[in-house]
Amino acid sequence: MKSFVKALIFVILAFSLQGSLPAWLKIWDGKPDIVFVVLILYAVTNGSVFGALLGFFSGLCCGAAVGSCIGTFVVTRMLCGIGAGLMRGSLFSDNPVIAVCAAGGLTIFCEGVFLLSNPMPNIAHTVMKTLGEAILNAIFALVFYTVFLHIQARKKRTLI
Amino acid sequence: MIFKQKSVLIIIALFAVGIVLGRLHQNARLAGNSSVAQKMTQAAMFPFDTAFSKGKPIAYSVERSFRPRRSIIAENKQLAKENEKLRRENAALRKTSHENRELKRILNLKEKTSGSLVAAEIISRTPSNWFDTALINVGSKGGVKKGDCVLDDKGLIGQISEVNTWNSQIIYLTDASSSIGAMVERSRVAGILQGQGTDYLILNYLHKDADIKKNDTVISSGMGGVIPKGIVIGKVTEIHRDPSAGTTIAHIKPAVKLDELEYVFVMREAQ
Repeated sequence: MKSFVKALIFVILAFSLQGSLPAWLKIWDGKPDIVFVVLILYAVTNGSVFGALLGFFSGLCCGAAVGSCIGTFVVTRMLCGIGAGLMRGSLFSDNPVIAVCAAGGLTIFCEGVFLLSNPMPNIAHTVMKTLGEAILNAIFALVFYTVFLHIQARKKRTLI
Repeated sequence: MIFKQKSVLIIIALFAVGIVLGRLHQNARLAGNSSVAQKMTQAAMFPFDTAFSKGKPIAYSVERSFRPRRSIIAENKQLAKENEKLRRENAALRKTSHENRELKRILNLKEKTSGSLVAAEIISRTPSNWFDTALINVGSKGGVKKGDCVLDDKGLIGQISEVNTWNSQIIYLTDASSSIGAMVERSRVAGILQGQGTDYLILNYLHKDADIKKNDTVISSGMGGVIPKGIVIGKVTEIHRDPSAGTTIAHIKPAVKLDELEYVFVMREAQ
């Protein structure tokens, strides 16, 4: 419970940071989704039920901020939380490559599902935007996950 | 078995709640309201959004403090020049404004727009790549209503799509769901301007021989009665004529750089 509240606080902080991202932080018009990166990292390290719960709340935050498609946001974020959580059981989650691949791959999956229910007029631009977002999310995941592993290692050393 | 039975139940329950919330939200939107879930979440997030938006100027001033003296002197010189130029322009504008007031009085026009603008600060941008929306720090307490037009000194930005007590949501012209009446200022050819979810807009429903050229200025047509007539929207960048369909489509570059906006004006009681 305590770790979930902590994760929720991080999601809220990430959400506020997301709204203040500089305009130049884009690749092919796609900007990073910091909330999504935080969700994936927590899900990779805590499992699929944790990921589903956190996905539910992060989807709710995004949907409320956008003002439409709350249900789609909640369901797609939950799917990604579960997907990232499943990697914990089947792969070695301490490897940053897993977090990077999870963030990039699940971004494409999540946006793909989202766009199926909310199609955009310009398909080529939409595809490029999704790829840009996936690349940026993967970069942010690498940075955040490295910091996270460093903090964990320091905690372990202090305990010993 | 990947999941335990309890985990499966939790996940199914969450999916069910998500779908129900989505359905309730959709129903509320169709009725022209915001759902309870959306209102509650927005109210919970508002303090965080405001806190982060207040932090931006601090970060900017810290960044500016660490500059070489040479660049400060150069900027000072440039600002002095700019100040002189603005003084001259201001004097000319005061004269024009006086003439304009006199002409309006003669024509018996009401100066509605000048008295009903509310200044607002953008406190947060949309967290999703697929929606061009932003949150401003003025809500129903500031007299803002759903559908009010949002603009700045360069031109039209969009409309108010949601109103809460202390904040409101703007839907930009570039959003894929945005659609307003517009016309070419020079030839008065009118069409429908639609957002594409990209950085350009499309002016649709023009005749195949419509009098439209590159670099023509596009303004709001006032059709529909939501956006006032004559507000600058942008310039024509591309024209595609389709003789077989009998139509012309024009790409419009918005006059306002939507990504860099910090302050906007809400025009209350749009005429």
